[in-house]
Amino acid sequence: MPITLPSPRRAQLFAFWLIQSACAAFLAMIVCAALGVRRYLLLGIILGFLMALCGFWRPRAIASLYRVWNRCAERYAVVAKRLLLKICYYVVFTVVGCAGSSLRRSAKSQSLWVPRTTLPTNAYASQYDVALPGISHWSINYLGWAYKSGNIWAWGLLPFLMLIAALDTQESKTYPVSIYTLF
Amino acid sequence: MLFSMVETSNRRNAVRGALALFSSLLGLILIIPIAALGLPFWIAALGTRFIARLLEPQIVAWQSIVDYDPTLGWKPKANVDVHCCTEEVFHVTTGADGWRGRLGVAESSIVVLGDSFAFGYGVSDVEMFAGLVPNARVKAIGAPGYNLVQELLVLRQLSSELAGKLVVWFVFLGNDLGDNLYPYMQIYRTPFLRRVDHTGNWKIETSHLSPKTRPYRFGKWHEQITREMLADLCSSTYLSERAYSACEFLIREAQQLCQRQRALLCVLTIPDPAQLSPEGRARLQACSSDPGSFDAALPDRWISEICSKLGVVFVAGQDHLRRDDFRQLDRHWTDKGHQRIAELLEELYRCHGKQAQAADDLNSCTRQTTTGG
Repeated sequence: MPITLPSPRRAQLFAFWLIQSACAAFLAMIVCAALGVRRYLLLGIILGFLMALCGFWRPRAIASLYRVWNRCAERYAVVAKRLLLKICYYVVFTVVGCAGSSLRRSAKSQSLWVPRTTLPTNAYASQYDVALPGISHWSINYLGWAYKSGNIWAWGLLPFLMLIAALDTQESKTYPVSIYTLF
Repeated sequence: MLFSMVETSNRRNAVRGALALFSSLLGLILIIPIAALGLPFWIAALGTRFIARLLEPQIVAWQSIVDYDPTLGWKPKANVDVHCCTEEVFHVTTGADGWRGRLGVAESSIVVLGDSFAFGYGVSDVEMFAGLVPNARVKAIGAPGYNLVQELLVLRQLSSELAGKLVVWFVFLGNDLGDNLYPYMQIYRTPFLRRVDHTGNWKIETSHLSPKTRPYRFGKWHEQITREMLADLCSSTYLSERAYSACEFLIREAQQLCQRQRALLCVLTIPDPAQLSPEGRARLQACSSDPGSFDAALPDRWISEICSKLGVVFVAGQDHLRRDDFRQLDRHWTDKGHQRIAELLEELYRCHGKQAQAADDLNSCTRQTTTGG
């Protein structure tokens, strides 16, 4: 599930605003309850209702907020992904590399390239290994590959991979216009 | 020996696995504050998707509302009642003949021929131009992805019902002119033109049509490909020379058909949104094979010359449409664009009426003169 919001159609804008109104109402309830305000439930509901109503009245304002929110989500995703990769590299790979894994932090001037042989044609779509028959989700295939190839330690990377996938944004999928592959 | 090697390897794997588990747990603890910061974004994204799915009707892709047609390549299915989506969800219905709307060709006074613009892709039935012309009944005939060759073939099929009607042919400059020369449209096989000789004679090729589709995975490059094609059509290139020659052949064929049926043909060019803004024109020029000869108005000028040579009414959409009549990402019209086209059709219909009246007057005058003489 991507962290960014879907393309802003009318239904998505209203849905986004409903979520924001609900969250605001919930926060208001908590604050009011903490301040000892009586009827905090009713106050929260009224606030949420009024907020939702304002959005329906001024849908253009939601569109602007939607864009800003999406931009913030994209920025967050970029920073979080970078931090995640760093943690993964310096914490997991360092420790596993000490135990002799080929996937490790490289010493200076040492290449980590591994010579590979040609893969079977049915593995082209998934280059790390042949996908398990009847299983489409990449995570199951990944676990299967780790088990079959004697790299069970790589299961530990799965939560990181899933988080990286969750931090995926549409922006990272765009390619430079001038890209040209010679083949 | 072998046994001990295997045992060592297993032990090493187990150690590696335990270390990986430990380090990933440590890594996950470090991630907690980062993930907590992102929680509002995930809640909003997940909630928005979930609620929006409940609010929106079921959406189908345009490919699922068309069927294989042995003459045209594909055609919209009959009596469709679905919702499609571009930048916004819209309601689509087709009549028993498969074309948009319930009106029959025989009952109409204007027949609009074209591609997805004529199909009204991007707006619901109530916002479509066909229903917004107050004094004329408009039958829109077109399907997403059609080129001018397919539209001419449709016109031939309907020729017996065209008598006395105004036939408005939408020519989308964004891709129609180039698509006429190409045998495929994404996954579909499409009728196209083959040059017979260098005297401007072309042949409609349909022998390759079949229900078989081809794999097409270049959706993300589609914009770039069509932009380059349009840029070359706005310049003096081999492509533009061939494309306008093919276009002349098609307009000539349509004009002869309309003349035989006593219908009036009008060619209405629809500009690509990129042609309507200075930035868009600059981007196009940068894509051209010959930027020095680039002129965004060249397609209109060429087609205008062809029409004037053949005696066809020509209207340049560029003179009537603005950038904000088109959607931002998708290149189809907004409801405002449809309103503008409806006004233009109304105007054309009024002129057509006057012309028909003048022709009748002329006929009756000629008859009187002949009788009197």
